[in-house]
Amino acid sequence: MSEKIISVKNLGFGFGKRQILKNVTFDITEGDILAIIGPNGAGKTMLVRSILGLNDNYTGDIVWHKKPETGYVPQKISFEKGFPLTVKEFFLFETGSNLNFWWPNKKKEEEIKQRLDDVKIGHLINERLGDLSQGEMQRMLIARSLLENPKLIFFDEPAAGIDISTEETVYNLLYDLYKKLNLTMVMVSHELSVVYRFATKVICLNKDLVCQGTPQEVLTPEALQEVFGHHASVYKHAHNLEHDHSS
Amino acid sequence: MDWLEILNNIYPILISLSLGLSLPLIGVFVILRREALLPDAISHIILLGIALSITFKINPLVGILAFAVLAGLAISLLKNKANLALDAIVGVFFTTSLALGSLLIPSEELLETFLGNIEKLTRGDVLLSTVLALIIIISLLVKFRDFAFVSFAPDLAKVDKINVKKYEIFFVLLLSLGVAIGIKLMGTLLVSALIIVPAATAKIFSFQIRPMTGWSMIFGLLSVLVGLGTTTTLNSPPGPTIILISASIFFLTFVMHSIFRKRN
Repeated sequence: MSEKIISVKNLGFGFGKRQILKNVTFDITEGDILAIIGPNGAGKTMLVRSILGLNDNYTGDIVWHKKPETGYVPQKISFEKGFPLTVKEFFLFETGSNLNFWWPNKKKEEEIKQRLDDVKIGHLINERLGDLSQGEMQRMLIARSLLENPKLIFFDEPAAGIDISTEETVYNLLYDLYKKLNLTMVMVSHELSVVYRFATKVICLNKDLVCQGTPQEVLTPEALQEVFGHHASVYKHAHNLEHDHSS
Repeated sequence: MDWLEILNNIYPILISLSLGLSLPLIGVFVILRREALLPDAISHIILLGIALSITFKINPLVGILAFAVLAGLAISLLKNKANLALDAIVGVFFTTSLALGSLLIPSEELLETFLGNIEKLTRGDVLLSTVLALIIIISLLVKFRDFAFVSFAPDLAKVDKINVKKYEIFFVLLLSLGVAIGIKLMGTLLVSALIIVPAATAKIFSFQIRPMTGWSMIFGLLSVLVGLGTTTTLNSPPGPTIILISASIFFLTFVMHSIFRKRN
């Protein structure tokens, strides 16, 4: 039986007088690929940020039963494009010591190269962050999150803004890593097809917790309508995939 | 050559080394954090400290240091509070202190408070500057990686269990001390330029943050050394002289870089 890592109980938060989310209760268990879905502004990112301790402004409880090494892939990082900082330097922020930053040893450099190779951007190690494309940036952030061999990773829209073909490979990549490294993953996504294919557990948010369970149980037309409103195409899309899935 | 003479020769070198190296090092982080207004805000709050020292006839150094620490703490606290954007806070602090400071400081001293005066530097000032500069340089270089990480991606640093708040406050305090030690020589209006300009110059051609840091410190030291030399020869106020040299290096670098890049 897998162990619980995190329990979220009756979580709620809002901006000013506007309540965004209330009564959200769920567990994150070892080996999960937990997908958090919901319309824009449903508070998916805030939920992840709250669990990670990046937002203290919530009601309810978030309990970490254990503290595994944790990785985080944010939607984006904001910085000045012209700033002189290379991918290697950015990775050295995370790994090694302060001294290593001035004099990186060969072993550290090889580790970094290996992680970048894992996501197929090893050739970008000496590029400036500002010169990466959006897709390369996303891969770079994924590689970075894996540097310290985490057991638990949070992905906030891992494929936001990436064109469809790249997106496919980003999710395939994540799934490969999941299997290879025995990870537990939490991902924010609005790609229902992806959720269908990869997630072991889904929670749907729209003001409160609308549904939770396996994708096959949860992503019913009724539930989807409650989450996203009238959106036949979404349903159809998911339905088609269900077909693919079972065949 | 007697001892007094040797000491008199050492002081300008000490002040050049301490200001020329520590302020441009701070500047790398200020630019990384996109907080180029912050040093200006701190220097204007310190102006109020100078004004109060003159009014109450105490050693200006006390007012400078007290207000530097005060400014640092106030900015760190306010930054994470309420719905105040940093530039708005800075704008309010900055102008209020400038207004109060200029009313309180006697007009004959106002110009040198704004533009700096090398003759007002006492031995105590130079020694204290040297000690504080060493603290700044050692802290920032030894913990460079952590300061840079926290400045560049605070959320990722926090997930990596780095105490981001501690580093933030520590950095703003170091910045305030940097402004404090530079303010007598450079003047309240110009001290922030010695923080920003060398780092901005190094940024023009650097591809990585480590060489940028080295070059920023080299440009800073060069500006202060040449600036002080020129000041003594021409009897010009040190702040503007040093900044003009620093700015010349900036423009020269910019032009050279543009030409060089076109050729490639």
